[in-house]
Amino acid sequence: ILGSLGVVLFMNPIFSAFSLGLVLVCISLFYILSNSHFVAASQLLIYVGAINVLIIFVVVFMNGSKYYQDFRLWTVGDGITLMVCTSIFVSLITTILDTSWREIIWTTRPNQIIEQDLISTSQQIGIHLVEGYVIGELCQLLDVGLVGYQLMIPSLPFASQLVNHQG
Amino acid sequence: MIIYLTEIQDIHFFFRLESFKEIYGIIWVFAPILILILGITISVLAIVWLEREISAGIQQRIGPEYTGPFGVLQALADGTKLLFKENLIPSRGDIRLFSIGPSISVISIIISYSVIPFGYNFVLSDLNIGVFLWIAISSIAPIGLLMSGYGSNNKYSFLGGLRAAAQSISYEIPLTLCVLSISLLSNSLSTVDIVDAQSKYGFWGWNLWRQPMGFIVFLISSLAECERLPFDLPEAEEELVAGYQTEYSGIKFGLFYVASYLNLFISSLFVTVLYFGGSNISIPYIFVSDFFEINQTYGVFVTIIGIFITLAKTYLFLFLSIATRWTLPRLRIDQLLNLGWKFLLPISLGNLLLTTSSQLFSL
Repeated sequence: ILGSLGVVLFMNPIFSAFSLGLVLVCISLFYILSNSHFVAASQLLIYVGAINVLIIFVVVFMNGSKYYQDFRLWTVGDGITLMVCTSIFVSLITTILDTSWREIIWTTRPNQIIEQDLISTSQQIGIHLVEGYVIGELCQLLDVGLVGYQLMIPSLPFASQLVNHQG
Repeated sequence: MIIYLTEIQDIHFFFRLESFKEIYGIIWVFAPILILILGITISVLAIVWLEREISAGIQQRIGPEYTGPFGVLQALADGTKLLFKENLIPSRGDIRLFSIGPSISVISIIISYSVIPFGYNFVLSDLNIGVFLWIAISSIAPIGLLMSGYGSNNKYSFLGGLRAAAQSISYEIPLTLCVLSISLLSNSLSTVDIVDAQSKYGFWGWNLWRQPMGFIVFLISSLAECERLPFDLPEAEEELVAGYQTEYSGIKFGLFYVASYLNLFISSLFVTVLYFGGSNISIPYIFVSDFFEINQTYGVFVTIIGIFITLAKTYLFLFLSIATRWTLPRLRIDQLLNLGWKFLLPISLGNLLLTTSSQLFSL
């Protein structure tokens, strides 16, 4: 939550991008707590390692921090956004508290039995499904990497000009 | 009075017993981690000395020889010197980014050591996704480098940080595809399972013989990940002074140095685990029975042999990396990215497709 507030409240977009990285790492920790180790590692690999690096890569080319000191800290748009986010947050909490978790626990047992049957009889199908999933994730990574590559090559002279302007 | 005293003594005894159990449990949990970190530290010192000696040998000159016998303590002397140097902070850079960058680089590499099997089932934590975890955690390091490059308020550091991020992303994908091929052969992402899968046929069971192209691509990609010459463009002494490390001094610079050698060591360890059978004994069949007899008598001896074999194989790749540094010239940035995207990526994808089709055929 602190990272999310950091993403929104930091005037410097570079700090916002790094706070976003912090948020994504915390999401990965949530997956670890849920015993989804593979999804946690995928979260680190895809979102923290690739997408967040891409965002930081782009944001770093923007102007220096002096430019953003001119902005006002609070505007009407910020107020409206705060109201919307707060209402969504409150509705999420009420939904979580009102849900009856016993029914969900009751429904997961047949799924576990079915999963056990699948594992015992056709383990190879599961392996191929996991492999397909990994390859799908890697395709996303390819897209992100290609975008970063296209952004970087023409931007290097521009980056040097920006740095001259900043220095 | 006597009754109260007895009760107090009993309560105190149980309290001490439970607290002792807790302390013992905590010690037992942290002891392997501390041993591992101590081993890593010693290995970094050894690699620093090793690089000095090998470079001296290649260039036909004398290496370090005054600090301890054969200059073994040179790395300690370097570390002490870095500790005593002043910490400089550039005036108009971002102090927080400047300070956090080296820490992220070091932390993201040390975590990766927890999944390496140094011996037979001698591993800190046998995760189901061990190799995948290493790839995921090593992909966090570019964030630290970008932080350092941007926070230094220096155009050369900035360009060095950008190059580091682009290079790391470019070569991470061939590396991942090679690891996928290995996990396809082993039916698992666990490092212990990968080592066990290579122990079926002894020497000829290594993944090196079944994945020769994957092995070469993995070596090149791991060199690029470690930013070793000919892939040290983020540092590039004649072009960018020292890249993202330019403005750093003292212990922060030492952290980058340590991160570089840690990264080299762990890449060599993973080449050993993925392609060279890990801790398996590669002695031919004549001696196997003798070793089995020895195995029955000494349990600890087996573990020590495993660690020794793993480190001996790792030394081969350390030597290759260090020798490469002092023999090959540096690439240009366009050559670097061309190699990554136009050659290594198609080769590793083709290797993965070949592996997949052969697995289907064998099924």
